[in-house]
Formats: sequence, C-alpha cells, structure tokens
Amino acid sequence: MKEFSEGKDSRQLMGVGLAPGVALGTAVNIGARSAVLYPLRINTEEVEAEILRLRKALRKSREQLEVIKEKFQKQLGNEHSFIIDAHLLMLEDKHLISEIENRIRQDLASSERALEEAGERWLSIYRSLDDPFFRERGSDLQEVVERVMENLSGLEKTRTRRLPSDLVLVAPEISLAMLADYDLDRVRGLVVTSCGRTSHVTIIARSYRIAVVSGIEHVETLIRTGDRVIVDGIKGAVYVNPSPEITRRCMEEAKEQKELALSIVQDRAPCATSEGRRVSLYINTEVGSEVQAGLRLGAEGVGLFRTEYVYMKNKKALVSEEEQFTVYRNLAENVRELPAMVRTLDIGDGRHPLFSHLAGEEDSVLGLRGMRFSLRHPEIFKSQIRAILRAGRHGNLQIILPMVSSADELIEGRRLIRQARNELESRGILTNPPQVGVMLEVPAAVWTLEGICCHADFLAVGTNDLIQYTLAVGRNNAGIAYLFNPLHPAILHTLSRIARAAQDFGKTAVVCGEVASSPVFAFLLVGMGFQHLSMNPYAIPEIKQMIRGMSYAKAREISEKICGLTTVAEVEQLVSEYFAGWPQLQSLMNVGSPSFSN
Amino acid sequence: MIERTVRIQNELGLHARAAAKFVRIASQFESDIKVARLNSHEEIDGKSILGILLLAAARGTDLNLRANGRDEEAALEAIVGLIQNKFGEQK
Repeated sequence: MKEFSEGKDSRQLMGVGLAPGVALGTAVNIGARSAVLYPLRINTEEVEAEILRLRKALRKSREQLEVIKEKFQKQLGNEHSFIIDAHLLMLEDKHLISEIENRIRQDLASSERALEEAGERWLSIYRSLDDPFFRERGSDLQEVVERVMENLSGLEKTRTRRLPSDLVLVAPEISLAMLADYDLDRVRGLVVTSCGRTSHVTIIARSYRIAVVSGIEHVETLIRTGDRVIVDGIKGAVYVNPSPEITRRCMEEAKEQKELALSIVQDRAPCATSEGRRVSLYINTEVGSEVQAGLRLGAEGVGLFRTEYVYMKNKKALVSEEEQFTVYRNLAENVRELPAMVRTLDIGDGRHPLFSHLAGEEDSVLGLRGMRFSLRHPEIFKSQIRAILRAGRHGNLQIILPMVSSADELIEGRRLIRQARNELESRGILTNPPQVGVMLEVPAAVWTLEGICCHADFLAVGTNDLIQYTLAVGRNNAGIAYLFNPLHPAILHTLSRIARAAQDFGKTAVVCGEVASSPVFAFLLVGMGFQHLSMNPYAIPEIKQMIRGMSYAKAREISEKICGLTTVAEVEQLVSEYFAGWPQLQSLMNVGSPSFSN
Repeated sequence: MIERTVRIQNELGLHARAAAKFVRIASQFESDIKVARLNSHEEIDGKSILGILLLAAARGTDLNLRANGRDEEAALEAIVGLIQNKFGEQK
C-alpha cells in the first residue's frame, strides 16, 4: 500500500472498486473499537441495579437484532434472516444469561466483566471442538457478546442520528450486521480492507447505490473520523481530504460517466469496429436483477454468471435444487433468447465454512476447487446442473466449468451433466442438451487447448486466475502485487494462442476477466481476434464507445507487434506510446498494484 | 423419565438452523430435556442453543435423548420426529 501526499493531509489510496459510483462524504472510522474502561467490581448493594443494567443491554440487543432481521427479510428474503435467528436464540440462552448473572451476584463482577468472562469461557469450549464446521459457530457467539458489550458501554451512541448524512464508513472488515446498524440511506460509501466480491455487503451496497472500494490495507489507520473522502467505486480510488481541484475533477468525471452511459443507452447501434467487425459485450454478475441494467447499457447477454452467491446465502447448509432453480430461472427470464453463461460452483477460498469443510484443506488456490470439487462431490454438482437445466427451459442458459486442467475433467463433467439430464427425464422433465464451455484459467488447459476444443462447445477466459497461475503470483499477496501484470509477454502469448485456437476450431471465446473492462486491453483483445468480451455492466458504455471508434486492422497490427516483444518493459513502453492519454492506461500498467500515479 | 436414541440423518448434521429448530421445539415443552452423544457422560440442556451446537453432531451421530416431566412423551416424540424428518431439509 503506497500513498502519495499531495499537500497537507491530502492523500490518494488505491484499492479495488466493488460497487460503482462516486461518492463524496464524511468518513466515520468504525474499524478501531474504542477501548472503554469499565469497573471490574461492584459493591454488594449495587448488585440488583447491575443486573437491571445487564438486562436492559440484553433487551436492547434483542431489539436491534429484530430490526436487522426485518431489514434483511425485506432486502434479501427469509433465507438470510436465520443467521440473525441463531443470534437471537443465543441472547436468550438461559445458561449463558444465568452464568453472567451469577458472576455479578456471587463474584460482584461488573456486567461488562461478567459478560466478558462468561463469553470467553463458552468461546474456549467452542475453540476446543475438533470439527471446524462447528468450531466456526464460536464466531457467532462472539458477535453477540460484542453487541451486548457495546450496549452496556454506551458505544452505540456513535450510531445514532447525530452522524452526518453523507457517511463514508471505514473499517478493516465489515459484516452485514455491522452495516445494518447504520441508516443505509445516509451511507454514501464504504472503504474496507476486505469484504469479498460476492459478499452480502457488496450486494446490499449495490442495491443502495453505495460506492465501495476494498483492498486497502490498514485502512483504519489511514482514514480518520471526520476526514472528507471521495470514494470512486469505478476506478477503485479513495481520495482523503482532496483538494478542491481533485474534488471538482472527480465530480466532473462522475457526471461524464453518467452522461456517457445515458448517451450510449439511447444509441442502439450494434457494437462493431469501423470495418464493421462485430464485437459482442456481455456482463459479469451474480445477481439476476443486474441483468436488466446491463442490457440497457448495451450488453448482449451474461458472459459470466457467478453462482457462489447462490451458495453463500446459506453458510450452514447446502442450497436445495429448488432454491437454485428459482435463482437461475430469474436469470433465464431476464435474458430470454440472449445467452447467459452460468459458471458452476467455484468456491475455493474458504469463505464458505461448509465448503472449506468438505474440501478439507486450507490451500484452496491450488487445491480442491471448481471442477475438482464438483467431481469429488458429484451429488452437489448434479443438483446444480439439474437446477440450471430446468431453468434453461425459460431462457438461453449455458454452462461454464471452472478450474479445468485437462480435457479429462471436461469429459467427466459432461458425463455427469448427461446423468443429471437423465435424472430429470426420469422425473418427467425433458430438457435440451446444454452448451458446455470451459473456463480457461489453468495454464495446463491452455497447453492442451486443442484437446479441450474437441470436447467443449465454447471457451471462456478467466484472466485474473490465468494471470495468477501463469505468472505464479498470488492475487492477494500485496507484497508482489507489482508482478501481477496482464501486460506480461506470457499472458499476451497465452491470450493470442486462445484467440487463434478458438478461430481454428470455430468456437466462441469469451474473455471475462477484469482486463476486458480496460479500454486499452479491450483494444488489444479485439486485435488478437476476440469478438466476445464480458465485464462489469458499468464498464460497457465506455468499451462500446471505444470499439465503435477503433479499426480492427490497426488493432491487429498493434497486437501482433506487442505479442512479438520479449520483456515487460518493452511491452509497457510500446503500450504507453500507442495509448498515451487513453483512460485507465495507468491503472492497466499497475493492475493489481495498489500504487497510485496521477 | 423416558429415554430414546436417535441418529442424525441430514447431510449437514445439527448445524445452526437445525439447532435453532431443535431448541424452539424443545422449549415448547415443560419437561426437562437432556441430550448427550451416545456413550458420553456429558449431558447438555436441549433448550440451550449454545449447548446443542457444542454437541458438534455431524451426520451419523447417535444422540441419547432424555425427557423428564409431565409432557415427556410428547416432547420426545416431537424431537425425534424433527430429527427423523431431517429437520425439514431435503438431504
């Protein structure tokens, strides 16, 4: 994490934009829990008053949870509220409560001290469980204890209406319950170290039009309560105490972005280069409701529908075929005859306790994820496939298999898909054979691409993981983020090899990594021969405008030249010469690198 | 006092949602309800979610249920029914 000083107290931080929009607001740092001093002991005559104080805090906590539960039910549906139910039951657990009260009565402990000791005793028992799935339940208890503690100490005062109406919340990590404590209509932006792309927080933020920037290390020490902050959720930039000049520029850019989106929306002309070579743009998303917005912005379908969110809705249990069917049918009904490419389950980062439990390992980047997981647990895979196939009767759904490293896994996956179709048939449900594609992200799959093309109906290119695996650079390792570079010659060679193979075999190849939303990189991809790019919906207007102004012949010439270079420095040199002044050029040269240059 | 042994059959075991259902149903009865893993001496209160979760009862775990009170029969019948019905889950 680097920061660049610009005058007194004015700083710019770079992270990753997770929810679009540009917000100007007042920072409230909720990350550092203020240390509160409280008395450890009370006098005998204070016992009854102390018990009353405890019960009041417990009641207040229950009321807060009831409000959160109702809020979630409205926004996300019933399935999300059950986690709050478990928290409510913990608050009512008479063993926990009587233990706290006993410590007050017998040991003359203060409520805070009694709560802390009783909570810690229960937590230590949870920590001693062998089964990680049940051990994880301790974190639910911890959240409940912290809430009661805040209500005892009066810390919740910071959450009341004395807060400014243009809130930018700053925290190392933010949970849905934390977010729900605030009046969401007052929250303009979120700046966090992590909250996960498909996390509930991101989904909620998008639906409330809250700009989100994630990936900023030690954010709680970089931004203080009261700082003026601009959160640019499109670029992934945060400006702390910006100069009037920067503020004006950001607000202008935000306005331009909006106007550009509107002008393109009104322009229904096809997306094609000046020679008339068609390039189709699609959206990456995980929520069906974003599809309509994408189509209005000019998308021709969904190039990547991530299904992890479907599973993340319930961290304790497997989502049933019916529940999945509802989600995919919604997607199908939104796209109709346009294609929507659904990537099967690719949970591999331990965010889901249930799946990290089933995968039984810590190292998920090189471990049991994607197709590997699905082939190990065919019943989980087939229930997802059945749901997709059934939903496919309502619209054009296609299937992408993630993390495939050889044609064998594809062949086996297709066999299970046939089985799933037969199972449906025996239930009296007839479905069409689906189009099945492979997500190219493991270099081994690219090396055996000809074999894969013989068995795949289409190809998808996941550039983020492809870069990670090809360059042996971890996506989340800030120390080597400068090596995570899509302009590395190996990546350019890999991509142009994929484009050529797709042409030779007559297969559609959709590039759906983050780079497709960079105008410069999209230009190079079109030059390599790609005709299908998928990106976040809000990037579409700019890319469409760029493509309509570009020449395919010229792009081909430049791409060939660049692919002939041997060092990163040469590539970057040539790119900066050709594309001087292009938007996002700088961030492309620093993709993954959090440093900021103006 | 009556006693029953029952096996956890749902795929996820006695996880949070299942535990919540267990506690809700158990709490509807007046009788004391105790739960232990089969052949274990550690008994927990069937009306405490913190206790139920600590059983860490994965699929295939045998639980020993004991009820003591006026409505003990009805209580065990309801709880055993819930477990055998896989807590209303599909698998």
